[in-house]
Amino acid sequence: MSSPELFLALNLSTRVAAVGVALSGLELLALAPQWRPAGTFSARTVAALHSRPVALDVFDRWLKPLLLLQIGGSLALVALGPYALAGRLALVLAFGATLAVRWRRKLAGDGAEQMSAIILAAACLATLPAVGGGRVELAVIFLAAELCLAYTTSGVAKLISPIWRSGEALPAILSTNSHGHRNAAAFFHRFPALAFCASWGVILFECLFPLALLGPGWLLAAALLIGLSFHLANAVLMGLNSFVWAFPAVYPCVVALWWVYIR
Amino acid sequence: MSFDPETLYTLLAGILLSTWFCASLVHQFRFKWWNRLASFDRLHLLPRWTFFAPNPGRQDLHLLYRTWEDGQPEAWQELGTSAGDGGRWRWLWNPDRYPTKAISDLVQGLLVNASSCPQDAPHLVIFSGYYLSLLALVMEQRPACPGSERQFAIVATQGFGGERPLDLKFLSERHRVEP
Repeated sequence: MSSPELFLALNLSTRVAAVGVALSGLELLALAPQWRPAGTFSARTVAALHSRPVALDVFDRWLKPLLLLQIGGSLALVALGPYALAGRLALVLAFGATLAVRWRRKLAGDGAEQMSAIILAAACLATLPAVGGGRVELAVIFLAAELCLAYTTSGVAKLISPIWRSGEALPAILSTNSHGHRNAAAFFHRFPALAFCASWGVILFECLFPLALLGPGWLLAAALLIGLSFHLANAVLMGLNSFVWAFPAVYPCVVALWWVYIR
Repeated sequence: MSFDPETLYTLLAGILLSTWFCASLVHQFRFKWWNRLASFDRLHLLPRWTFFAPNPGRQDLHLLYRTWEDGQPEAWQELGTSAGDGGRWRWLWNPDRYPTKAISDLVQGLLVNASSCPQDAPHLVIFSGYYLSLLALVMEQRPACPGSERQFAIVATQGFGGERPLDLKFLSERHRVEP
């Protein structure tokens, strides 16, 4: 029988991820003109990206119901959690609708969306057809491993990049219209030493994150606090709002693993 | 002897999750042989976690289009929304990132395709999915007279607002607007 901490962790992770999935669904619903002809997700625009002919205009009759299902299912999952029978139904509906909408959109995917899908998929495997203690444990280990892989890969990719090591990447990214912030860019251009420190702060945090799992409790708490602040800063400065939900959603799994196996 | 289905479910979940994690790990390395396998991942369940590295985007890519009437070009129009600073709530509510990212995905995909075309046949890029997708998008914009032509361009800028130098990255063929 798995520890109750592992059950609690998967429960919390799924609920937090579901908040992000509901929010994304609401954002996509608010973009109704973008799904119609002349919009960036119009059937003709997206159909050209499929390797085989697809009747997306037929699929689009189901688009609004699917988005409503994604939103409704996610909100129900937040309220009920993934273990109750109704919660498990909500989980399947939210996950299925999210995948269908993602397939229809084909464009504008991001890492937050992938992490959310990974969390929901792991929760499905752990709770269907009935909740299994061993599977909950496997799901928690898998999610924590995936988070460590995400941070480490991102950190190493920055570490091997000369522009990141020199501290020039951060002000350069913040100077773009798509992921930038006028005041933050001006600040880092004015104080390049701070840009250098911030860049190395990001590199070190991301590369060393998995080591926090092996250390004392205060180190893990500090790493998770830095991680949360990092995602909040990315949301405010770069508009990456969905990452605030998707990545910290896995933090309960990291804490539970540390609590059960390492403490 | 009784069979416990939970043992089977656990075994299957273990195989699936460990395979998924190994596939995620390999997916970070961009091996050619793996990319062919990964192209079957239609639901985008294999993540690539490099985020703005090793070469972060330092320019904004803009999609422009114009109509040619009677052989004369009209003014260029920009397509898509610009996120900019995006307002004080974008940390929570930021739907504009979807169309901005969609256009960014399309133009970056097209530039990659264009750069990989053989030098003696650069026009082959017009058969790429990204080209056809961008063409469909610009053709759907405000109606043009049948018989006129449409053309699109990708232009890079750096920095915010005001007068910025433009860097032309790609200029499409002219395509006739069908009635």
